[in-house]
Amino acid sequence: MRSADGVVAVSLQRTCNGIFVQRALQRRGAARVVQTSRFTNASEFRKWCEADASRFDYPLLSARLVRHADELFSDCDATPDAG
Amino acid sequence: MPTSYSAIATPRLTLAELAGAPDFAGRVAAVAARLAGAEDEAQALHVLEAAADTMGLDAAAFVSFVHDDASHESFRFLLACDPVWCFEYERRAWYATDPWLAYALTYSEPARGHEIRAESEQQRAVMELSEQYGFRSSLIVPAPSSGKLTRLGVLCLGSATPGFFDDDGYLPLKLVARGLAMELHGWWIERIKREVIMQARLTEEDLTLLAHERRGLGTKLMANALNVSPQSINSRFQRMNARLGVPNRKAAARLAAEYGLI
Repeated sequence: MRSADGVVAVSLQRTCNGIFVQRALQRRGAARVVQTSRFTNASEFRKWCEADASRFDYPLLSARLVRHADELFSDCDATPDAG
Repeated sequence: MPTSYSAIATPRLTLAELAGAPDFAGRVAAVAARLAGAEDEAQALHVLEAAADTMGLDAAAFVSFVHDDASHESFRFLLACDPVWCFEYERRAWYATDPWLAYALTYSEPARGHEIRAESEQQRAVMELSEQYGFRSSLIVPAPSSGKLTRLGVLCLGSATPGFFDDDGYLPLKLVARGLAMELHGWWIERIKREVIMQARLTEEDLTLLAHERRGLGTKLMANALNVSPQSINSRFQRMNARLGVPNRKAAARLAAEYGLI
């Protein structure tokens, strides 16, 4: 998932230990910043999204991310041993 | 904060007790050895989390930093800690004034947070921010590169316990942490190398040309070595420069060296 201008790109991956998230930020003239982390539940992921200042610039991307993460966490709950 | 990084209320072992346990170093090394099989960042992060857990830590982060020039400067974080920390850090654009990063750019010896002096108000603010996110006590472990390259890894280990790194367990922890930092650094470089080769669609012959350029060979010598015309060498470099997003062949060769391609 990425913003229309390509500045922010986020990928979500379900693993056996939760949701693995990789977020890349590349603003023009600035360093590329890639952060990778893991979330074990949906509320922690929402908290992280709310802390992301770029959600004001990219509200649609932020909303899609939360929805997608909710789906992945639901799948995890349904199949806890999924890898 | 992911639940696994939340404050732990149960009685804590000291570092001396943890490091004094049988085969402490062997267990951390066994975890670090799993990096060799890590196929992506998710698996590498899992190794970092497991290593931090084995070392009895509350937080860990590994930063891979390349700053060869402004167009290719990058910071890559593996966060086995509260990831909101990274947003705060990013929001305030503190890379340029981070005292831990500044330390790692100058020294290769690990240092505890209190051994690194903040030189400015902004550096003090960076340190205070890290304390809020699981690094009340900290150990900074640089993973430098040889050959005058700018790429650098920094392993940041944290504990919510004040003075955690100050007892007799520090020395054995320092030894294993150094090994872990270098393994993580090597893993990231290999990962980034594959990424650059794929994105810029570089062939073996391209890499040979870049290596020749890095060694200072001129166009004619390269053409002779590869048995092609000088014009062919020039046009190949032009196409390669465009794919790598650099202005000239010298910059292309430097980038290739920074990312471990040659």
